[in-house]
Amino acid sequence: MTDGSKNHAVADVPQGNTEEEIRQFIGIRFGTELYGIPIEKTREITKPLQITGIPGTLPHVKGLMNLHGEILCVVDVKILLNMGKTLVTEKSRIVVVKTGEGPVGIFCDEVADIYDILTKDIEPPLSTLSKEMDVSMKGQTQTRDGLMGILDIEKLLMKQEEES
Amino acid sequence: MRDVYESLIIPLSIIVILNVALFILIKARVLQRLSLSKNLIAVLLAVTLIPVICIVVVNERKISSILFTEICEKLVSVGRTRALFIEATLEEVKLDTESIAKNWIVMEVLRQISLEKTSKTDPNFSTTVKNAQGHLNRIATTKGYDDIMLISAEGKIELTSTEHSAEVGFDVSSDDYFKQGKEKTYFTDLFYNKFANNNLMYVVTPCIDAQGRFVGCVIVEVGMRRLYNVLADREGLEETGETYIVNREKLMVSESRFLKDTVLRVKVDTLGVNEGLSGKSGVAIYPDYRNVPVFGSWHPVKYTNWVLLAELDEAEAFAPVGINRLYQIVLVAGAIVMVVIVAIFSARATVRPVHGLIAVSEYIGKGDFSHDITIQSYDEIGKLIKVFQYMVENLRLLIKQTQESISRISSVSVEMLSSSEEQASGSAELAASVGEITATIEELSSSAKQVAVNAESVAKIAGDSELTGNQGKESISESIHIMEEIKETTKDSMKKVASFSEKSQKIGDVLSMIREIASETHLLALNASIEASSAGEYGKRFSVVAAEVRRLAERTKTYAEEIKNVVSEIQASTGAAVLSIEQSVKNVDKGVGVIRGAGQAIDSNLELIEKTSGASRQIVMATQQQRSATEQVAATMKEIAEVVKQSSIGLKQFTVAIADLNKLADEFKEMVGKYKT
Repeated sequence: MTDGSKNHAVADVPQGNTEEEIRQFIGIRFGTELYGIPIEKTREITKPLQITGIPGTLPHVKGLMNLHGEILCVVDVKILLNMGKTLVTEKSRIVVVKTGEGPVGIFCDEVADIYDILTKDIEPPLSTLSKEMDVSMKGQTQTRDGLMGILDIEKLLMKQEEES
Repeated sequence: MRDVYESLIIPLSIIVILNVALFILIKARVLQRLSLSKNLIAVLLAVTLIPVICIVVVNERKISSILFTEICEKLVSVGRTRALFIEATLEEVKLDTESIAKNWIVMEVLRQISLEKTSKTDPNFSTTVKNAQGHLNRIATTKGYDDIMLISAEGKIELTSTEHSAEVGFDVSSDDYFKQGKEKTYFTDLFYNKFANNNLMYVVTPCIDAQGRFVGCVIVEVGMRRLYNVLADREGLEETGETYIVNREKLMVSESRFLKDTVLRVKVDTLGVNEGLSGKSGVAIYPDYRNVPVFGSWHPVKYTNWVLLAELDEAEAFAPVGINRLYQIVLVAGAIVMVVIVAIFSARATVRPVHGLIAVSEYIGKGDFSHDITIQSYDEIGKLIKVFQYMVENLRLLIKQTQESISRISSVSVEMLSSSEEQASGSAELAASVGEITATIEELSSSAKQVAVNAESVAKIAGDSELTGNQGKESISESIHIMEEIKETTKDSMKKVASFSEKSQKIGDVLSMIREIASETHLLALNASIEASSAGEYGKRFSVVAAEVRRLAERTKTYAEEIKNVVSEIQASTGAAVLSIEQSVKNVDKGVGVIRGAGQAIDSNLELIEKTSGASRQIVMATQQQRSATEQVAATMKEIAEVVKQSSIGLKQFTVAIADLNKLADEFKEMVGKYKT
């Protein structure tokens, strides 16, 4: 079960400078696009349960979900990113994100993997992005499954709330 | 009126009469005996010349008459003028004589001599006489008299104007003129005076004194010279005109223009003289003293017994007529020539087409139609020529067509001949072929017999086939049975395959479950990683384990996927096996159907064989009928042969007839061929 190199890498983290620091990102897919959410921002991943729609809310708010007795607001980030609506499939997951206003369920098409990324490998966001996207994108990086955009999920959600 | 009659009506009636005569000639077809050209010339000449000649004649007559009148007038005028002149001259002489007689000296002289008997030698008287003589001499000289003589009452010549005249003392009392002159003034005729040695005339007048006594006479001798001067004047008398005077004795008193020394020598006894001597004046044509016909006018001269004649030769007078006549003759001759020329040309122009027509007609008479008339003419003859030409062309065409038709008939008859000959030979061939057909039909009859035999044998063979067919039917029902067994076995194996398919379906279900579990495991592993991360440094080892679990779950998922694929393939091939088995079941069913069909086919085959057997029996019957029909045909063919024979004879006769026709056509062709086109 254990791997030497992995152990070593994990062991090195506290001693190394910030350049060598490893950060973990949960890779989620919207369609075919891969986005990363820092693991420390997430609480858990769950399969989509019974989602109750709330009339009169914003279009990206899918509704409310009862997770182990806790009521979560589920958001369809694809609508926020202008990527169309998310449909529920076998692979669909809800990533519960910790925010300043409590946990929020992010609806995504698939959870790909957890990626260990060196801080230096994270590149600043592309200058060609629109201002809206620029706010919610922290940068991007290369992974074994392709290019991954790193989302600042709190800013994204906050921006929406501000606009609304 | 007479003039109109002469110069208009008569010529006109003559023209009419002559033209009527011409018309009658034409009507009587007298002229038609001449040729057309001569006829034309004659008619043209007649028509032209009749009026021309009439006009010429009338004209000439008219001219002659006018000329005659003119000449008459001229002669009368000349004669009258001259006569008057002579009379005037004589009158003057008379007046002179009478004035002399009244002169007082003359009277005194004569009174002294006659009454007083005074001698001329008396000295008192001689002066008077001398004066008287001077007076007389003066008068005679001035007036141009030859002499003036005074005669006493006794009739003696007492005094003359010329001195010492021989005549003085000459007694003339016995002379006629003295006797006449005692009474009144008297003119003597012209006579020869021996004293004067000349022809003279005396004018005697009595001298009467105041008391009325006759004292003597005065005689004036008049020479003819002054008269001759008048008469010799030839003005208005042309070449041959003359005026002369003839006395009572019909002797010429004046000189002739033609003869010499005529005075009182030449006697003129002509119509004019005689008429004139009877005291008439007039004009006429008569032969003159030369016995030449002349125009003459005669005028008696007062105081004398003379006749003055003015004459002009008729020849000269009518010379203009003669010249005119000549001109007219030339004109008429010219007209005749022109008319003849024109008539000849016209006749030729008229006749030439006719000659052409005649020439072509002669050719046509000989049967030669190849000549055309090419003369252009627009009159009736031209029309005739056109019509004739049209007729000739039509005849030519007709002959040509006839010739062509005949040659065509000829060739056709030749063809007919040959074809009828061919037909004759053909009919012979036909007869031969009829014979052959008859033979063939007999053969057909015998072969029909053969057919009947063969048909019987067919019927027999059909019976054999029926038997064999029944055997085939049995073996087919056996094979159907075997096929049913095959079908059963196949259905069984199909069921087995279907159960295998069901089992593999279950494997698939299990695999789905495994996948589900793997997925759950993966999710759990993820959450474990999250938990580990939130545990911080202590959770790192757990994080590694969680990652391993996650990978395991993923691999499981992959394997399950692979197995699922294999099972799917198995399921697919099982489905194919099921399908193929079903197909083989269907094929077996089809095979059974086919074998059953074969059984039915054998059944129907049997029926066919039965039908064949029946049909062959019918064939036998039909063949028999055919045989009898064939015999009838043979009989008919014999009849045909007979007919062919007869037609062959007919054809021979036909051939002979066509040969005759051909000969006839040749003759006709030769006959028509004589015509040239």
